[in-house]
Amino acid sequence: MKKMIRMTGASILALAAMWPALGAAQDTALTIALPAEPANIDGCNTTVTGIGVIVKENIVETLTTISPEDGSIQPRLATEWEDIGDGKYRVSLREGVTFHDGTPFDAEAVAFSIERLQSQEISCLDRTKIAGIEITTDIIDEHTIEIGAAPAQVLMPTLFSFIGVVSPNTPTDALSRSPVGTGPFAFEAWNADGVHVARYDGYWGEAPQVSEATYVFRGESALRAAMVEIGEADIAHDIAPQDAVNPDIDIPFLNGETTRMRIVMLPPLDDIRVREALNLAFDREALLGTILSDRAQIATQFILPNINGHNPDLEPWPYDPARAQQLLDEARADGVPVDREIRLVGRIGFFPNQEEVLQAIQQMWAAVGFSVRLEMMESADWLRLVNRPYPADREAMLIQEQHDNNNGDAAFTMRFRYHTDGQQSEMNNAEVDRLIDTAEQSVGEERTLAFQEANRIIADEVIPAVPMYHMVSYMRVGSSISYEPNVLSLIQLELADITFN
Amino acid sequence: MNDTLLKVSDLSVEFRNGSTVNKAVSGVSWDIRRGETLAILGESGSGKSVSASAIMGLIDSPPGRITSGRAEFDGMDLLHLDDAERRRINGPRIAMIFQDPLAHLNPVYPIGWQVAESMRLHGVSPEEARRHTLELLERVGIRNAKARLKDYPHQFSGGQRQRIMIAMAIALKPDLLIADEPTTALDVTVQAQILDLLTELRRETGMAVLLITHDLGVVAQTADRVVVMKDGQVVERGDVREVFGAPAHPYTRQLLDAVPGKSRFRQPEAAGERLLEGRGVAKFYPISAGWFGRPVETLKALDGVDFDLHKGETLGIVGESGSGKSTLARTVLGLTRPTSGEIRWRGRNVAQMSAAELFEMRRNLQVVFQDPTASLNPRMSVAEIIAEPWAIHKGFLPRAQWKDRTVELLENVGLRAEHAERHPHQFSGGQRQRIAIARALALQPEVILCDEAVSALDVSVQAQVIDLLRKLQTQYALSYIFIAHDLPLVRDFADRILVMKQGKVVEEGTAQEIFERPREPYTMELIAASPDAVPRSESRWRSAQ
Amino acid sequence: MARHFAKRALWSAISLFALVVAVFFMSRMTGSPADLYLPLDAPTEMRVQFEHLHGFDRPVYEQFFSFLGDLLRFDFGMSLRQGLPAIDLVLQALPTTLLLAFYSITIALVVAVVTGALAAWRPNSIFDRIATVLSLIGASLPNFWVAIIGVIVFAVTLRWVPTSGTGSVAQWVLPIAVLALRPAGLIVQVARSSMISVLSSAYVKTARAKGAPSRRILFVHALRNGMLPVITVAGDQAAGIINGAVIVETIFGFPGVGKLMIDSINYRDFAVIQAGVMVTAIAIFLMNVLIDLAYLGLDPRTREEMV
Repeated sequence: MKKMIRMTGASILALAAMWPALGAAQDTALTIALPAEPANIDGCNTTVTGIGVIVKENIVETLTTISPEDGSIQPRLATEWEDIGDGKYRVSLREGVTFHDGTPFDAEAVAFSIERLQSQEISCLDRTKIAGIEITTDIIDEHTIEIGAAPAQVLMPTLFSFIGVVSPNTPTDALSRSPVGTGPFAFEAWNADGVHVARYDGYWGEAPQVSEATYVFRGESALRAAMVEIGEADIAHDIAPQDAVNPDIDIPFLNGETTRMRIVMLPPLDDIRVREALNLAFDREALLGTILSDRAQIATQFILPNINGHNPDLEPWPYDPARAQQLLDEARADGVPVDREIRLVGRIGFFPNQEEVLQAIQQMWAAVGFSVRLEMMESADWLRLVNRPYPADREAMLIQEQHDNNNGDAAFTMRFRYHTDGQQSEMNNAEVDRLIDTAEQSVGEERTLAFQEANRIIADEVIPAVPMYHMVSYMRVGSSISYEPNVLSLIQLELADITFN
Repeated sequence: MNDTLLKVSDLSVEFRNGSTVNKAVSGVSWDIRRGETLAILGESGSGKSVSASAIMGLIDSPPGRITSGRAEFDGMDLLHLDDAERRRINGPRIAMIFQDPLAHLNPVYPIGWQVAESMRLHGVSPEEARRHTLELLERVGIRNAKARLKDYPHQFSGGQRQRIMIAMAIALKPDLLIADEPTTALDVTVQAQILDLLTELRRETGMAVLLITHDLGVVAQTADRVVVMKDGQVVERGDVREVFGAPAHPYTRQLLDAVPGKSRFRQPEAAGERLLEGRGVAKFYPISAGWFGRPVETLKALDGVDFDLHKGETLGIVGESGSGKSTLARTVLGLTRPTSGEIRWRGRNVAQMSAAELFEMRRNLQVVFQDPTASLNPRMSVAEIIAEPWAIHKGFLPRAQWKDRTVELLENVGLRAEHAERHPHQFSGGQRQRIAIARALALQPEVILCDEAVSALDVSVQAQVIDLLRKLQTQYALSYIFIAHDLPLVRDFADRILVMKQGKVVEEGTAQEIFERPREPYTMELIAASPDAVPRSESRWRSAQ
Repeated sequence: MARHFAKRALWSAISLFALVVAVFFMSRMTGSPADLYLPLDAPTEMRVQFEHLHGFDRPVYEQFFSFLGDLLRFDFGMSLRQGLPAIDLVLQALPTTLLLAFYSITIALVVAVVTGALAAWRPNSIFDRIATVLSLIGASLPNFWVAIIGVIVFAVTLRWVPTSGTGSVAQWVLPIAVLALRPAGLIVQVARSSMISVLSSAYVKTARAKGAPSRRILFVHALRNGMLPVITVAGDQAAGIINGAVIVETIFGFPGVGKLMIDSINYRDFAVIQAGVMVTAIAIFLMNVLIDLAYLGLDPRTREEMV
């Protein structure tokens, strides 16, 4: 018996000796807790959430970047660009830049990256941003390249922000798990502990304060938050509102997503009075500060105010249940089957508390006489409903949607959501089509006004949806560092923006 | 002059079950002298086992409690020992063997290990223990002991297992060996061997034996003095010859009277109609299937058995374990199909009967099983149990008459009308068997098959049940097939007897022929092995060898 | 006896094959996974290209036969998500899960058997009652709740252990404790009732008559007999842990098979699902073989039944 006790005591001591000292991190090393481990971190996937947050502008840089404040195009690896007509731009490349593997950055590297992006051998997801466009390159000299698009793109400089430049030594037959780029941080390792990057001394720009960073993946939001609380991590990316309880370190920010409910315009939803009633019966204010953050903003259209083409004159729908009921009665009197049960389809995993939000809205609609049945779906099934070709047996329904356009211009939203031949459009309005076609070919004021007018018609005269909110996310930032999240932070977190206190 | 080894004074033990208190032993006193065999004789519920368990400290408390008494042994009171003292007594000074050796040997350890453990526990070195184990096993008659040291209990027969237990018990040469019903679970012939072994060991080592049993024959054969217990109290004590020759207490007299085998033989009357016959009945069981289910060996449970049953007669079938008597019973009842051979009811082959004919035959052929606890559904009331045959054979008795007929049957078997509403667990073993008999009578069958129907009962109760069966036979012109493992039991009850061994009928004849003029050696063995309730100095078994 | 195991192996191989076939067809019934891998605004041509690249545009039976052909070479195909061979991903993730399962079940078994045996020694004593209540609580709590609470209490508030990760010994403490809780609770109950019945058996009485001390009776005479039902339950639980460590792996960031499977199912990564199912099924088969061996070792009576 005594022997047993002694042995147990000895093993406990041995275990204790192996305990790691908590919180003995280096001064300038960073740990970031992300929700999901990506499948790869290839430089041609920088627009994918989960990949971009690690790679974009940290390891792999793009030709240009979009400013989160005003959506303007900023130079990065491209310093100057000029439209020389015929869809072509002459681009001057930054000098004195090398890749992490020592290869010099030049026009050949850019051409290589563009060709790789468009290759049929691998599925580069950034390619969706240039879908339907063929990009060609012409090397002029070491630091000058002509990049052409067919058909010609008005927003060419925006397109440049989708092109990540990777080292010419990158394999072209598979997506990479160890990217080599020109960014301030070089890829070190990806193992069971996460993705490790370290400061690259040969960087062309200002050396960041952060010397190394580790990205760890923890699906549970409460855990991410806890890690920052006890110092195991410095940033907890995207935590749920119920875990964001400490105003000192929990920072809310508009995350660039807008939510709405798409209306499938079949009876009774083909009657505009019914669609109006849906919007009037929804008390948008009530959800703010209760089950949604009070920093979320009520949306009038499907793009954020800082996007070119956003119409600032549109007003949010008032909350007027009496009028909603009146409209319904009128429609009912005209034989519209307003009492038919309408499906409300939600997609699992859009934002925290979303089921409660949808239930609340369903209740509000029931209060004025709608019969709405809520149904939560997972992504595969939901995708079948929202993409053309639509199932032939679709009935009247409302489909929850969330959309982020962080590319500075409404073009990335308008066509495929509202144009007659848009992949996710329910509309068939000749005037809107014309405005979109015009805007896409225009620049400057003309472009902006065309898009704004299109948005007006959509919001006021077509009412193809119930707009909801511009959404807010929370980031927990440890008190030893300073970081100001912005509209892009969910998909692009530049380590260079992080400073130590 | 005082060679008293153990003196028990005024021992009382009670068991608590919830709120009921059962006084198992009340104020019991006895003593045992060095080297003698003292028997504690009693039926179930007499408290005989509890007294012995108390001495060894084996009573679980709770729920049992020793409320008074002393057990003086070598200056110590065995009823109040601490753990260390207890361990010095149990094993080296007092040892115990039990009734069911298979259950009492640990199934997961080899027997060599278990025997050696008796010694290792008390300071003997492992090598010495191993050597001594071999000697002990050879002494108790385990053949090929050296090879069998590593075998497990389930690989031995019942008799061998008891020998192993004896080896374990005598390993440290205790002063006292307590044997609690050591032979009850064994076949008759094996029982005789074990008792002889105990007697020899006693003579060699001079140890005393406290023998606890319900079997008067065993007491008569092996004990010097006897203590008779009933309901937790001692009713008589004394030298075996004196007590058995001239019993003082009425209970002792009742026990002695109940011993079977004292009346006249039955003389068979003229043979009546042949009701049931079996020709060449065989039942083989395959053991150990090969790759595709082909049997590698077969067990021949029945190997060509012939028998007849005439109207009004009692056919006794006697055999030890493995003789096939139970298989025969099941085959006759139709619970198993014979592998070959025929069973005929009134000349008609049972295997060729239609469903209706079979149903009719079943009505006429009823059964009383060995274990009344298992054969009566605990959830049914007695009335439901007795009425069930009428529910199955609809049309035999109109429902309106069920209640009255049930009362008739109950009174017929010696129970009372108010028993009809009770449940089986509220009755004693003997009463339950009476209920089973009443159920068997319900359909007024022609034949009742009694499969070891009285084997599980106390001696006095056995006698009562057999009396009842006799009475019913005359009353209803019944025929019986009476299966037993005990020859004396069928001696005054059967007309003709079949002796079975290993699936074959060894000998057949009237009761008188079998008992007075046995022809086969096995029959003679069986007769000799059954302990006679007449005290002798030398066992008959020994003389018969 | 070797024949017995050979028969078992043959039957298991057949069931395994049937399982893989079933998973193959059922997962493909969920439709093309293209939508899950391409962004929402991907044009149709990209979808077509994706499906062609991975062979989803071929008829199902054609896909099946080429799958069978690959299977013979143990090639389950490439992971859609990561572009690496599916079997490699599974085999890489397997050791973590196996280690988790092994440690959890071992600790659960040891703690639970000793506790159950001691509780059975004195039924209805204070120790027994506390042990019973704790074991029932342990067996009833959902493990995702325990995991989070464990993190909050032990990592955040008390700072005794780190929250997550796999590197150091300390990081394994919480996950193993969480995983071991339910099996331990169940096994305590099973061990206790088994031991109670064993302790009242006849051979224990013999041991007491032989003068054996209490501890020996409990741990030598009774325990081996009482272990048989425990082994069955423990084996069942261990198989369950291999499958169900998902939650623990997800919360604590352990790159094990459970997490891999859930992610693959969500993303319809057929190749990984198939490889994972196969490997897990083999692990469970081996576990059952182990249980059989344990029985043989513990109870000599079963050795003859197996012949």
